[in-house]
Amino acid sequence: MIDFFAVFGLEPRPVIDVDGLGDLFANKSKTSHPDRAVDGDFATLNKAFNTLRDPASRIFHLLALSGEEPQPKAASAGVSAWFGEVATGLQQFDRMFQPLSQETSSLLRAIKIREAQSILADLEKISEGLTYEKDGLLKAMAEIDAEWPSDRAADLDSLAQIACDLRFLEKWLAQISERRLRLASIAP
Amino acid sequence: MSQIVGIDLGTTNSLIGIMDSGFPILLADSEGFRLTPSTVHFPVSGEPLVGRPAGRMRAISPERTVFSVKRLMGVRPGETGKDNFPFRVADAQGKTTIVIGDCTVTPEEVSTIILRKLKADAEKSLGSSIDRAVITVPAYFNDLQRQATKRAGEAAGFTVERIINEPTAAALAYGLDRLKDRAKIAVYDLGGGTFDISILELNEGVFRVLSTNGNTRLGGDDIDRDLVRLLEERITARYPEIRHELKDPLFSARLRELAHDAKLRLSEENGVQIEIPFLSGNRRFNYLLSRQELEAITRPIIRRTRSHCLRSMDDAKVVPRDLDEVILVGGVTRMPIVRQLVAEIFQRLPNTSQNPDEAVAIGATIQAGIISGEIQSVVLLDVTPLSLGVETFGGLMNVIIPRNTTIPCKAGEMFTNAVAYQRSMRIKVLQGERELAKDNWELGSFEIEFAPVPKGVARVGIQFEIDANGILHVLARDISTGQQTLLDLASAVDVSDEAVEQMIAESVDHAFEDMSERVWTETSIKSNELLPAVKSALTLVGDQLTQENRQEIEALVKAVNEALDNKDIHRLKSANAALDQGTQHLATLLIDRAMSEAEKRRGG
Repeated sequence: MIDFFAVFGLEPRPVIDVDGLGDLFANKSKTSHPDRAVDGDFATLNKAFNTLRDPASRIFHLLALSGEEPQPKAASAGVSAWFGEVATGLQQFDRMFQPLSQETSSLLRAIKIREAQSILADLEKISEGLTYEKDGLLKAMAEIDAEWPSDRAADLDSLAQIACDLRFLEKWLAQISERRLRLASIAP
Repeated sequence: MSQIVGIDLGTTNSLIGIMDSGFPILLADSEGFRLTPSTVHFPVSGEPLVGRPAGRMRAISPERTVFSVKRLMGVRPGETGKDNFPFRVADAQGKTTIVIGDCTVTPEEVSTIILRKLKADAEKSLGSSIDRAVITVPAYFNDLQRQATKRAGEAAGFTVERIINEPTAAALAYGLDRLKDRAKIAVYDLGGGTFDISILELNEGVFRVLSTNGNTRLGGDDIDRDLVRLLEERITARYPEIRHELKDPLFSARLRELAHDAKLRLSEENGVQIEIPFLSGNRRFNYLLSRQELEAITRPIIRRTRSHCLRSMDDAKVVPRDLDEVILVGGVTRMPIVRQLVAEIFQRLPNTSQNPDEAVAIGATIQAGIISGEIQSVVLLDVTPLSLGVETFGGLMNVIIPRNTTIPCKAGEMFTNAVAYQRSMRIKVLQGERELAKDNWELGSFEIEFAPVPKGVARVGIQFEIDANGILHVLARDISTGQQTLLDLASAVDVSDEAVEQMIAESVDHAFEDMSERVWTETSIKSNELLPAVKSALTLVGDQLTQENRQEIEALVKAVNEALDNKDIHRLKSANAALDQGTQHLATLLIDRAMSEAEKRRGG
């Protein structure tokens, strides 16, 4: 297995400077992009970049490197608690949005936009909560990182749990953001 | 090795350029212009005319003169939308074709003819032969549209060294003399037929696209179409008796040309006199078209670009203040109203330093210089605009390569047998952002062969690769030997026949339903939705209406109620429409209120 950290000359650890990673990626592309080199392995560089810039996939990669086969865990109780709210909010929005996007009468449209906006406001509150949750996880990651290298199995376990939770949170945040864009695309 | 040319194969105009002692220059065609109209005229006998000579035939022989063919590239019949071409577009066994007299040509072949002219004229002016090219496409072109463009280039005698995205090319043109900069820019590219928005990061010669979005069927042609409609209305208002004559293809073509020219002039002037001296008999038509009227038509079309801009910023994880510049390209961005709406979306004045017609071709030429090695200090990292995936159990799309992934890239997927001793499985390859497989473009399908083993034991690795052109290659890897074989994607057209038949069958079923009953139900549902809506809107913002407006609305409500009581379908329909119309202002007030409420929520 390829050590994606090594591709960029980085030490494998939970937290890295993502902006700096972008610069490294741009710089290394100068020599390995197919327009510049015949034998440069750009696809690997590209994959390494995409893996490391996302915290969850970075952790999964880190665990795989350390020989831990990361078990696909369920979300923690704290994160799963959000599921009901997110799902209900999204469903409410979609039920509202579907007829709204096809509405031809401007008055009915205005009324429906107003209703959709109030549902979206609820979703935005949920989004704030999810972001708060996510920040907490990133902070926990930084705490483990501060003690790195760690060989305590407990730390690796918590990292796996954090990565799994991040995946859920990010998916929900993206779904809410998608609804925000959908409404913005039809509201004036 | 011969030099590489850069080609902007545009909806309205095409251009060709070449590197000359380290600088990109554009070449004039045999008529002496850098912009060659992407128009091809097929005479009854003899060779086709291309470019300006063909353009002159648009108003003389509209049914044999093909233009805006880019809107048909890689597009399946049934997806051709509301385009109303004076030439005949038909479906030949699942392929979009253009019918000229007794002959047919494909959009790809028309593009080849245009490319051949560019090639021949460039060879004449350079005095040497050229056979390698970089060709631009809209960033939001899917795999099928890119492949069609590449094939057109090959048929014209080019080795297509690269298919490059138009906004990315424009960014190269902008950034070439700012290589030391570190900046984030957005390129807003609104051309004759397509719209793209791309967000890039420029960093010491590396041009990295962060996200791209767009619509391959949105552009200046739509404005022309709506402007023609407006002029037709004005003509029929004055001469109702010649309504049928407006449909004459020769007249339509002439009107379209007048509309297009008026649109161009209204970027500079506030009003344009439209004159048709010999409209019909001795009727003459004179009309002063104001910029305001044009803008009223243009605004809803340009507004549609807004959601794409918001999406691309969201994907790039930037907000307007993170951007250093917003670059405008494409002829339509000359319109003041476009500049104004772009400024609203990005909250800054757009950068108009680039020639909107030439930036893409200049950029394509720079990319040609990068590939040939003439330009050493620049590298371009582009992305795939659409997510790539396969259809999974239950008709869902399983994303394998997400949109805005830097290309070239690859991703593997392991497939296993779902049933014991299953010998093969057909996999549909999709491109798009929708959750349901059927809502995305189907690029084709391939077959996986399994060894006859118990369930879940057979394993075949499939590698999906998107090359630097944004074109997909699918490889199957035998796990035991490590041998890779390139798979052919069976064209999706063969597969969709069944779906088409199904759709036809369903529409026939519906036709036999009792129409009058259905129309009544639909109309009364509409009324029963409108009436309470009016009531609640009046409670919320009714105090902002004038006394007359309020009385007018009340009268319209009464008319709807009466028609409902009398079960009069015709009256109900018109009463609904009148109420719709009469509550426009009320709707605006309501939207304003909703906006300020949303604002307040964000603030607090």
